[in-house]
Amino acid sequence: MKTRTAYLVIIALIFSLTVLGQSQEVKVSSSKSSETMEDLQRTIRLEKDSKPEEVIISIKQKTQKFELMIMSSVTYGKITIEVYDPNDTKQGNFTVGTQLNSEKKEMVNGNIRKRLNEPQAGSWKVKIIPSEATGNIRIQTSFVE
Amino acid sequence: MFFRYILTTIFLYIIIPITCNGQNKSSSHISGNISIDNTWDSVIYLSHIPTFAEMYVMSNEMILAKTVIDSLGYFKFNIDFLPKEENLYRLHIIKKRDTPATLIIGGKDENHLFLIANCFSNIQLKSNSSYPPFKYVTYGNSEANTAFQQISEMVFKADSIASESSASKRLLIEAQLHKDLLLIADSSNNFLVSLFAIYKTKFESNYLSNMDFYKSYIKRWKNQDNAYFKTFAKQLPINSNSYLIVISVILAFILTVIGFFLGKLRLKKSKNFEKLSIQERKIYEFLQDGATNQEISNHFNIGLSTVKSHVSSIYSKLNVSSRRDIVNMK
Repeated sequence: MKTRTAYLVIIALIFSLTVLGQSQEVKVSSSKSSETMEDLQRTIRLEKDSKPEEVIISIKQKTQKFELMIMSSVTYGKITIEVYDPNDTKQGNFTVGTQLNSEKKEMVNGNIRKRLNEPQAGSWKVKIIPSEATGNIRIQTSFVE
Repeated sequence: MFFRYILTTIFLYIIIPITCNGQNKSSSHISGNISIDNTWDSVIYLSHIPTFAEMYVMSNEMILAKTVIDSLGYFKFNIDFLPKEENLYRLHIIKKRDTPATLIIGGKDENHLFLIANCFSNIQLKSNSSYPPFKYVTYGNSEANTAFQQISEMVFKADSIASESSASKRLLIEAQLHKDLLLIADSSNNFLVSLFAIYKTKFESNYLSNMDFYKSYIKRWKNQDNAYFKTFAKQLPINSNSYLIVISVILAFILTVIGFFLGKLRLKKSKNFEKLSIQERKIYEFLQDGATNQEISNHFNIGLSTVKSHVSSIYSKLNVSSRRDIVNMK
């Protein structure tokens, strides 16, 4: 019985590590006397992926400063990243793609940075539209409240 | 023969300078001075941007050429291989750790600059800022690119002020920027400059409030036979497709109504036809073929008055008044 439980725990651990490899979220909070800073980092790993995904960033009314950084690199396929504010207005976008029908190993990078004082409260959206993409996306957000 | 030779020589003298692979090779170039520190690689890349919708697309395929930036920040591209038509291009540099196909948008490391060129261009630029390296660029001899740069700087300045401002002030700044960009788009005689201004307005999310402007804009530049215009026209939901949809809906409605009435008429006819007796149906077939009463009488071996009585009954059951109506019912 104990051995079976130990096996189950090990399998659960391995499974959780695999999942963390696909999408990992790290949250760091710090506070000074009057303001609180919160950094959030999310890493998404794509493996020949074509499924669109939306990452929602919720901004509270009291947020004074907001910074968004998206860093992506692809080694195969194509990724389009679009950033929308709570009014659904596109605030930025880029596409990175490797060459079609090429056996050559290559890496293409795209980064976008957006910084705002008193950002509009609500749900900001980061749309990730991959096409047979293999690569990494890192979404880094900083809030000052 | 000699006269012909002279004419050919004169013709070649005229034509060669206006072809891109002619003697103009040495003078068509993009050169400039940029101020970069040692975190940047000393190589600059030139990419072709086929449509404005792809301004922020990065791939190795788009890179046309690369050249070295010397220790004084000077670089030069020979561009005699470019097409004759003006097109949109992007210059970009990369950080030492990055791969050549790297695009950085926003922030102090923004690494690119858009410009217009063709195979006759002789463009000289000077960057007056280190961070971002292409923030303030001046052109020595290119009106179109000076206008292009003014648009970029206007947007950059408004964005910088807006990002540091309160939400309400940001709205005012954005509204003013939008107005200024539309004014440039409306007044510029260079199509690419004009369209660049339009794209900087984020037209996809605000075209509804300026429908008339975009309609007249499309009309004004409709003779532009290039991918820049065609892609823009496709992106605008006010293009002719919407009219086609409306016409299709109306047509479908009319056809449905006609179909409904025809179906109803046919149903009525078949219902009336069921009212006829077996003998009347047989006579009806003869009537449809245009047979006379005498012919029917002879065929069925019945009296003429009986035929008349059957025909009269058929008329009344089918609600018709003549033989012609029966023939037309086929």
